[in-house]
Amino acid sequence: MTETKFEPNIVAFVCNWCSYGGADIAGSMRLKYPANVKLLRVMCSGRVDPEFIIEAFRRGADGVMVLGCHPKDCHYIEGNYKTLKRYNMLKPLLDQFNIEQDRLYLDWVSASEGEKFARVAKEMNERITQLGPLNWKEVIGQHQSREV
Amino acid sequence: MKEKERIGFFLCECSQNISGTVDVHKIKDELQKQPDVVTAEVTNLYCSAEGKSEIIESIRKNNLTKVVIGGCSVKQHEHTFMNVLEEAGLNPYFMQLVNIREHVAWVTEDKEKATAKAMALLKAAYNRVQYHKAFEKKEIDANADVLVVGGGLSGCEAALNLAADDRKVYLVETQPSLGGQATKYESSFPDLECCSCMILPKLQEVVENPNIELLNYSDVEEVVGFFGNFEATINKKAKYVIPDKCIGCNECLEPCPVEVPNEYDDFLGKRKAIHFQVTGATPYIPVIDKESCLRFKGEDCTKCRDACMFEAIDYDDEDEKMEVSVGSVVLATGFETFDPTLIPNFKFSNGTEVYTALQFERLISNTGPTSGKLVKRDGSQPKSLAMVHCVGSRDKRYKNYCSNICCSVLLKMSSQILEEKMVEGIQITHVYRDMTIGSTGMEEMYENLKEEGVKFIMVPNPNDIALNSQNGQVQITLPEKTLNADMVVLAAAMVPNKKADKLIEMLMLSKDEEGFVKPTHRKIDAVSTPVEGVYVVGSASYPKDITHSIIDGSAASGKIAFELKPGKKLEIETLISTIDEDKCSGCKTCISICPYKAIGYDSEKGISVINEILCRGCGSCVAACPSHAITARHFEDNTIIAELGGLL
Repeated sequence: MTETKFEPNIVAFVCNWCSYGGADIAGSMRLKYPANVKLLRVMCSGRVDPEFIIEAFRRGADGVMVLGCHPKDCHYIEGNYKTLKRYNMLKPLLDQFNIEQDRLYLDWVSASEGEKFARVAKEMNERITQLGPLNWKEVIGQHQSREV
Repeated sequence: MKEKERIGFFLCECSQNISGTVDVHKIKDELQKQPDVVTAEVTNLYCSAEGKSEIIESIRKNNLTKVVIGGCSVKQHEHTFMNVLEEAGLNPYFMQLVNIREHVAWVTEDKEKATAKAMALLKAAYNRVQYHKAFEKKEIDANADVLVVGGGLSGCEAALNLAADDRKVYLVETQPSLGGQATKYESSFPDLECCSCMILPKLQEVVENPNIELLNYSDVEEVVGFFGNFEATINKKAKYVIPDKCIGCNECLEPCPVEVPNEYDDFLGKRKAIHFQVTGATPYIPVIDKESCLRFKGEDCTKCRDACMFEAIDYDDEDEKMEVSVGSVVLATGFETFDPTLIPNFKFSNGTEVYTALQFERLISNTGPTSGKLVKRDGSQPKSLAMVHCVGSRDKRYKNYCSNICCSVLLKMSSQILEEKMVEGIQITHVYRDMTIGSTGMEEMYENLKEEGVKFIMVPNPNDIALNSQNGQVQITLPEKTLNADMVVLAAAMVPNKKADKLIEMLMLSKDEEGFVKPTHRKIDAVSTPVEGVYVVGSASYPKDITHSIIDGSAASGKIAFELKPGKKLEIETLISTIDEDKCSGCKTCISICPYKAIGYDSEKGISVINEILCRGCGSCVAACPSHAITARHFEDNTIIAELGGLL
């Protein structure tokens, strides 16, 4: 068997107002980060239902990031605080699913923090590469996902 | 059965910006193989006029139902392409713009990886658009009239700017006259300009404006509703003086046998039961204070009525309730001063020679209790005066913040005393922490005062000094020495007006840690509030000087004039959240989540209801709903999960 280098599959939920913009700035600055970090835009990080995160793991994500506006900067006043609460609630539960807590990551990236966006993406990629593949899709595959 | 989608892909090369890294032609070939994809095209610049025409033509020719554009950031061109769809006769929400430039081409070294990533993002969009629904712009009827609460300078400015033949302004002021705290000042910094001269003409304009209904000596009792459609109940307190008959001749004041401390002079001087707030009050019509008038204590006094030559006194006057309908509300409720008795080491009490800056301002005002003569309570002239900065300010034990104007006010008073030669040879000493004087001309005034012999003693925290009043003198204990002064002036912090609390609660506004009303954003949206249609101006949101209060009033009126045009409907947010009545269990979780108080409870149906005018579509409630009863338009659960499936 030949060993190929593991490249994790990472989804980043980004809010429309801050973190999506931060990723835009990373682009404008031509800052490179691993191509396996893929963005999904929502209007507010507060829209990220914990079920989306579980669903991402179920569909083959090795790592999930949620990126929102900095505390006090939320476009919708306090959506990011809701995100933080849900994150703190969900994270310990991941152990029960045999998912390492480090596979879920929450951070705040403003619409000017291109450098931070690229750094967070790189660091997440390194963390997940170290952890190796999750393979949750295979483990849980037989169970039905939420009806869509 | 759902009709088959006809999806078109448009991949932008962005002049090599994308195609230099992402192999758009390879992607095009792959996409064309997907079911329901009718066309996949590549062009150099889709945002150009030619590019846009190409999309429109293709939509028409291929009868497309959904469109995916691989290009740049939604921040840059989402609206461009939504307009393109509209022009082609498609609902603008049938489009997804995928950012393969900033998020792929510009951040990826390896071409193969960049192409694979772009492919994944486009596939996600392919999945996503199949769930896209059409949404139409929605408009509601809106009332363009405005309720301004607070007749200080910021409120008056807003009222004057907004009042027009087709827009009525209701200006409610709790006091008998307009102008707020600024009318208490004899002169203003930095140029000692006479406050009355500058302010009174503006206030008179308010009184004379036919499109402003001035409700002075009145309180807002209730406000319900939402942007474009507020209903307010106002209580017009009985004045016992008929405004249309009174000419402001003053004859009724002298005969009144009652004398009570004058709240307007911060209880320094006295006033009668029938009184004007101040000489030159606008409107210049007295009111009878029911609390102190003998008639309301059972005595049959008619002295003021006997003195009135115009039959303007009406003892049978009663409070009157009034209902008004408006489209927006301007909160201009101002500030009050910090109570220095809260600082124990100051031993502050009325009757001593220690005054708050506002009291002292009244003392040196021509309209004040001593008609502008600077004298102590015993009538003698002070030989020394100490001015203490930052009282109750910038101190965790009291108020954390800086009130912005106090340093300037104390310097202005010093300058005024010296310039007008109120007391020959008076020694003025400032006890301060540091000078916070931003306005033009203040630095010059500060330097001049130093040259003129005013002393400035810097201490670590003025709230830690001790004041002891004895025999009409005040001993001031500083960290390294002790001073004596004939009079002491305390620059007490500006604090939120507690009387506004009920209204703030009714309007569902939030307050910051210090109790000031929180605007939408302190810098870029400083007069709007998270409650749409409600604006906050002047010192209700943080301590401000005259300049900034007036600027606020102008700013809010500009926003209102722009958003609420008389006779025009109000366009509301399209991408809001909606509740499925059948699924809602009425648990009210969403109500506590919504930052815009857009969700109410229908107790008859036992479900939550979203007000589509107030909802801004953040989707926080959607993620919180345990019954999955709430849907975020364009960001529905199934749409996001479909997109997720394409990404992975």
